[in-house]
Amino acid sequence: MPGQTSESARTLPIEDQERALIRQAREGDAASFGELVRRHERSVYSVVYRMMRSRDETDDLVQDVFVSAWRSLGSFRGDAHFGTWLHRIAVNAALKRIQALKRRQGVSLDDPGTAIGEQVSSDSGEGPLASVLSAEQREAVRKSLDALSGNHRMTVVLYYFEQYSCDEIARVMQCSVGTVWSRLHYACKKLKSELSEQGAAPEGPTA
Amino acid sequence: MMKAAAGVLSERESASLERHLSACARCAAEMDDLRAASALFGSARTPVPEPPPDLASRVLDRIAAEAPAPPRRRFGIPLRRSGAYGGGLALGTAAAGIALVLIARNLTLDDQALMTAPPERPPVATAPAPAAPETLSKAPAPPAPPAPAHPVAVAQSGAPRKIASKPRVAPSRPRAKVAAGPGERATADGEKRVTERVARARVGEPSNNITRSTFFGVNERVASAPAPAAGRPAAAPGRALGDAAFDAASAPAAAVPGVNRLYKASPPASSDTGAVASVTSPGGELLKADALEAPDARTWWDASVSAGDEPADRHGASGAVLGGYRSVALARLTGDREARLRAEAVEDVYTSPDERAKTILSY
Repeated sequence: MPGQTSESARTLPIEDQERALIRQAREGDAASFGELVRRHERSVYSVVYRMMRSRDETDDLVQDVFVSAWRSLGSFRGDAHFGTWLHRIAVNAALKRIQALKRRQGVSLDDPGTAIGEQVSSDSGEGPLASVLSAEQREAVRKSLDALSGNHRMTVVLYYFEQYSCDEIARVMQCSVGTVWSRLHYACKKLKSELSEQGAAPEGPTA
Repeated sequence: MMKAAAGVLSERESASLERHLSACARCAAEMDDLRAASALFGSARTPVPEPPPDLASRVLDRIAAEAPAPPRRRFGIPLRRSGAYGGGLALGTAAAGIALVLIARNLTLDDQALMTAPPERPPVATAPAPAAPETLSKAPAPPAPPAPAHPVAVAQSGAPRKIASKPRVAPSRPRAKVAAGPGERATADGEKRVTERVARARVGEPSNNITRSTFFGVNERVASAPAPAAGRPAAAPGRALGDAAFDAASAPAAAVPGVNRLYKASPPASSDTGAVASVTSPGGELLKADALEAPDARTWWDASVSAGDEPADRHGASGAVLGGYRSVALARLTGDREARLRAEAVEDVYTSPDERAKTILSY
């Protein structure tokens, strides 16, 4: 995964192993590709889930992403990290899927109980960070994310939730680093205006 | 500020920003908002569910069902499994290549079409004029000349227009410009000049049956210039540097029958650039042709008759401002005899003001 922490923690032998797996997969070895799937499934699943916010949608889409990666393995030149290349496929697939769903539904994609506002509820028991946000703040975050375009939302997801660096986001989303900063800036302003509308405390997380 | 809100500014950048924020309440308020929002997004991170334990096997099942072998890369193009698809891709590539060739061919043909295509209607019709004489209306458009090493401006085939005592108004005329591959040359003093073939087409008034006049020129512009020597003004590469204005004192004597006045280039004095030529017919008519380029980059050329009985359709004028470096105006008087005067205003800061006007008389 091209995450900030995993990048530095990656060791050479693992990279060598991955290179070997990629080479074997390109030669038609499905088992090697299966190993690559197992190595990257968590990070890919995480990104897709944060965008789709639905387990069913995510399960299907992540499968599609890996099958698509298998088909496109011949075009993987090896000049990017395999994880970056894989995430690029995942990001594009998620953005495309969201666009299709929005066209079809015209409503929020959240499954009941899986929206960020719900996820961060102190009752959900899903993490220590959940309790630091007030109900208004959770609602503001959810609404502002819903109001963002797919690209803006993906940038927020990758930066704040997946903790990618801006350089990595630029590589995955195939845009400039300046564009990444610009999207983050826009998203923050959107969140601020959402908070103002709700009269929520603008001072950031409570607690 | 977003970088500061995300906490990724360097110490130096951060200190600089803080200095500004301490003096700017508006930016300070925006900074506070951004920091709060960024912190809120950062705190909204939640764990995601684990992927299904059988995800990899499900993927492999689908692969086994759909794609028994991964695609191989051939010549940099990932081919699909289906041979038919691959063949289609190859056909598509070939078709694209053919299309490119055709486009390139069409571009060349378009160049030719500039000379032969039916005219467009002019946007503004001026005073009606009688039919043009054969000598002018037939004026054939020459094939575009190859760019010479030392470009000489060529202006031909002036379209007659009678505009009596018309004040100078830059008309909006259809214009076509075709630039062929530029050639470059470096002069002895380090200038780099780019020469490109330029074709311009002008649409005449339908009332006088002049459909179009085309003339070709060679556009030479200074792409880069060395530092000016002492006492010489600095050159602005590729920009017009001179001005065409009437200079009676320096006009040559009427060495050519029917030609007694000449406008010539003068040192930069106004924002217009170009050349002006005039001829006076035996009957006393003053035919003036000018080629001017206004500051807003409109190029225009005009012919006017000052007085007399000379039929207007016997006059022609054309001109060209060639890249702001050289301007040519051609005035033509037709009738029992034809006189041509071509004034070429060479605008070059590396020549003295006296050298800026170059007069070519031909008849």
